[in-house]
Amino acid sequence: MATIRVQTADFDIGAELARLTASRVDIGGIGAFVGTVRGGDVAELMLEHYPGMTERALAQIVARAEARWPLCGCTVIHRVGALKPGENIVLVLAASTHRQAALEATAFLIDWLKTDAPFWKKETHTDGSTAWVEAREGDEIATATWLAER
Amino acid sequence: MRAALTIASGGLLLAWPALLNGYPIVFSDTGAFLFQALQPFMIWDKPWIYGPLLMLHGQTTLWLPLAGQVLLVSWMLWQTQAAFGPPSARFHLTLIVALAAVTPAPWVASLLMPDIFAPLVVLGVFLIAWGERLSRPVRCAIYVVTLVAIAVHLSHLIIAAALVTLVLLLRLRWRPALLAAAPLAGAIALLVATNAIGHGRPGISPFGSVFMLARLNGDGLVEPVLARRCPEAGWRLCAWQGRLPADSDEFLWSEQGPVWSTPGGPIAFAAEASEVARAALIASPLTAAGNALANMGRQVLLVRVGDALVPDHLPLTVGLRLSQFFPPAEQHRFAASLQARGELVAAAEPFVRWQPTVLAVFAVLSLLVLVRAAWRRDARLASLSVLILAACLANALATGALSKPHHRYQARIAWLVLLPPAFSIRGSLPAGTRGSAAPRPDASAR
Repeated sequence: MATIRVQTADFDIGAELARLTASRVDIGGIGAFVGTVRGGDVAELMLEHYPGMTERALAQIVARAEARWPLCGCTVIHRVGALKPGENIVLVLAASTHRQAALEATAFLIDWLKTDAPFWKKETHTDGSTAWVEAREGDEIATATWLAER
Repeated sequence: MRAALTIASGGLLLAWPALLNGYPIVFSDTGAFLFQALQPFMIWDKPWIYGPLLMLHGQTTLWLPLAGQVLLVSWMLWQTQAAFGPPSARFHLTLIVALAAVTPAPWVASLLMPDIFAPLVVLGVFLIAWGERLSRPVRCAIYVVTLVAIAVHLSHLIIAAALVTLVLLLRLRWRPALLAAAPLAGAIALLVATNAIGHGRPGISPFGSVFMLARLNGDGLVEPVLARRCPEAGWRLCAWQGRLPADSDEFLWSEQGPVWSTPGGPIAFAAEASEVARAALIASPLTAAGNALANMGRQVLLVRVGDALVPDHLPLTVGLRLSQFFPPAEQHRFAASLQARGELVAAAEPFVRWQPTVLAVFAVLSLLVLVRAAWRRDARLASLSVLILAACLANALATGALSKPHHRYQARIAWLVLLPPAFSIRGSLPAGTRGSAAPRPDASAR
């Protein structure tokens, strides 16, 4: 059973790892990814979403990963709202009996989250200007690669 | 005390579908309203009003806001009776039993969505304009209820505006119309304030143009505008020329559609949506008006509650919020409900099957009551009938014409057509046979 959450609050990576592995002895490896707000000329990142719809999209992405790798468990937590540079945005954990499946599933999940999860990011720059973040070509190529590898 | 017991009993009767279900009836948007209040988080298409009202649950159980809803409906019906004369417990309970047995009223009251506030707008405006018999504290409470009932959903603004206009026409005096307009003005102020604070945009509906554009596109009025104005207009929508989703829901909600694939989604798309919608309305005003009336006509006839009873998307909306914010016992209660198990539609079928027929019959009876009351110069009953029938049409216009016809939208308000015949019967009964009037302090303030 995957854990999928969208929330404004920060997440506790240790607590989420403990929750994922509680009472489990079949897990041989856990892949983990934590996305954080990159600073530079960004003063604030505002993440918008639509409650319910976004979680459904996340569930579909997780289902794709579960169909592709033998996962023992999976956690996807995405934050929304106003975030400052250095703050956590997203946590992806994928547990499997072997490390390769766990690591590949983690990479798959984060690549698909970047392109298919309905979040919109608005950057406020240090000079006060704002801009919605467009989809990056590199992200599209990453998901296309996963499709090609099927 | 007797009045309180009667109102509480009425509320309990209205909650029977939730009791049958084993849990308050929910909709996927209920999860969004919980998220809206518990994070808190501004959602682009939802006023920040109903979510905070749901906070009555205290993160313990959703039965508490359900209790609030059914008691409020029962109380408003009691006050409506009081506007006609000293209220009787027997009549109140008989009326609620009838509503609970043959109309969508208990299903809408048992649903944790803003829907139940649409009929309360109608009763509220009636009570403000024709409730001279009610005491000052009761009238103040009705003001607050009506204001909130208008503010919880944008379509209620249209219903309220139509009713205030009718009050002016029926009373032919400014004072009652201004009194009736006060909650509408308050609701607008509340919406503007919450949007200014939450979205940084002081407006009634900062992103509402996206809905309007989806409807116009569904009616085929957007493609001709794109053909005429693209690519010079520089709209993102130009890239969709010739392949816009014809269905307004798909236009609005598909992740691959024009709204959601725009960086910034509907929030960023709203400005362009206003521009394109304006161009479409200017180009084809009569066609747009004709389509709106046709959609309104379709909406008036859709009165089944069935589409609010399905389990679609509930695990990842309501189920998820319960697991995020509520104790495990509440999650178990929800999971055990007929609706969560996908059994509520079948369980409800014997009770809701005849509701459209019953509502059609009572709509005709309401018209007859209106004619009779007007003939007999019973201004109060005639006015209630007019307000209810007009509200049904305004509701159909606001939902069907501006969004898309759905059964749930009209079922929420259509049950009011039972009231004019019921109050007509009450008025023709000899005083002694109406049941004993509960002594009420507010009944004496005339």
